[in-house]
Amino acid sequence: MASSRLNKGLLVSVLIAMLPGCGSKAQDQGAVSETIAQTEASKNASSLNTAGIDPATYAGRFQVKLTKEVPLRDIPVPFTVYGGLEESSPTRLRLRVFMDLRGLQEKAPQILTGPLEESCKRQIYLEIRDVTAIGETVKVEGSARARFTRCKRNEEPGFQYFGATVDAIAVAKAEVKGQCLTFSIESADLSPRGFIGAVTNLFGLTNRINEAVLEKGGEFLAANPVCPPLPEEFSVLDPIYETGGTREIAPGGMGAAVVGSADVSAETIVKVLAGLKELGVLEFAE
Amino acid sequence: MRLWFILPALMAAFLDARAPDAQEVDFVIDATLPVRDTELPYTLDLNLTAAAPTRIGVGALLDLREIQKIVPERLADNAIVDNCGLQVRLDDLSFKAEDDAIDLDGDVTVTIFECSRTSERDFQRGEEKRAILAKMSTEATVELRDNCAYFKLIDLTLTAPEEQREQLLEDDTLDSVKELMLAAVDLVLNETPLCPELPAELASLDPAYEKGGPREIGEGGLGVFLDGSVDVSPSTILDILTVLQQQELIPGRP
Repeated sequence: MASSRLNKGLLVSVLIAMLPGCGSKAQDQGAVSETIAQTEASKNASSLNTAGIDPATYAGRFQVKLTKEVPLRDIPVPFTVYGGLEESSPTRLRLRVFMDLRGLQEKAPQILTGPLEESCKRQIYLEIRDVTAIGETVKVEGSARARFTRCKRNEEPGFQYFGATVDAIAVAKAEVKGQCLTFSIESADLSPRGFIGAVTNLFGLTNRINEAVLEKGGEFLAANPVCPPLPEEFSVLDPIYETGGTREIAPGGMGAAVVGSADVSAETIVKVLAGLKELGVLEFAE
Repeated sequence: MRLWFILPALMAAFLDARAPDAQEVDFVIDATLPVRDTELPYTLDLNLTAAAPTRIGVGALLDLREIQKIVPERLADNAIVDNCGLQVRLDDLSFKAEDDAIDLDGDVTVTIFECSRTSERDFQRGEEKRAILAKMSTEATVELRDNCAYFKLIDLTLTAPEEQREQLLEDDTLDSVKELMLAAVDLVLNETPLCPELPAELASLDPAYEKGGPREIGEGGLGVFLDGSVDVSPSTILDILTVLQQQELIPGRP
């Protein structure tokens, strides 16, 4: 049981980094230039490659495609969003959105790998190897290295009395709550490395690692649900997102599909026009 | 991708739009009125209001003050009636919109010529027989027909100077001039309907006008209002977005 809780902690922190536009416990990353080069590559790949994305996930009479780069921990991450709008009743529009998260998936190990906690009592270092989509779930593979130390007077870590590394594989699923995606753990599989790992379990230290991660991640997740970046033409309609979750872009690519609806009245249309005018999109009105 | 940068602006606009007085939007659109072989510029002031859950009220105010300035200049150079025996020129025409009528005043020069027939169809203008200077005053109004506004002269009064009156009464010259002028002006006015055309982006909001008339803009400024409405549905938004996309004003299709 303890091992599965550690995996939850790992996953939680993965999800923190998935929040587009949300900051997190800042953790420095090296290899920035390398990252940029990879960003270019993945951007090209994702903008060219719509294969594997089911067009039904963004079906509609009006369709739009947006590519947006959101920096996550100073790493630019490309997001591609496909949106579809159609009339579903005389006063309602149906919205379908598909988010290509393969750019994020590719960057996730870089974004997430790093120290999770660095207090004088304990230092937890996460290493994420891989994020894969499987059907409607996301598999996260990685490990956590924990060091337990005595605090020195100046609150720096002192004597290390214990250390362990735990490999973890977690499977997560996303649900739509309000306008946002909320992730939850479906299952988790944990394997402490070698003899020391077994001892970790034995002394209940896994629990302590786990609690540290869960506590921090859980708090952050509650405060920062995953709210997808959407076309502003959609936002202006003030839609309600009803269903959705992560989807696999075969093979293994991570995406998310969301379906929602918006009430449309004469008032909405007037508001939309006022909004578009304000934006300067309506050139005749300039 | 420039739209991403203005997302906050839109959100702000949208929040503003939730204010109670913002269930309407105004557009000022440059438009032209085709008249014969030329085009006269005017301004279309379009007001859209949410009138009912599926109906948008459309108020169009055509600001014709520019035309009000141009037309007298053009008229001064051209005779209104110009046939073999009669030429009528209109000078110093002034329009003045007053409440829901338009007053027109001007100086009319009527010149009568000798006219002789030279063949079955041809006439030859001869010597000038007489010139009369008369004051014209008339009132025009606006009629709504086929979703367009038409100017219409209500009446036309020609007043000749005292010393010429005796003779004019004798041969009914002024009456014939008046009839000819009315006919000529009505012909021009009937060919010149004001049919406000909405920009492509708003084409799906093409309204049915229910009433219209003259409206004074500022002090004596010439304007015409048209009031109507259009039924809307969620598709209206899709139409607008589709046009914006075709014009590459918003990001394109996948």
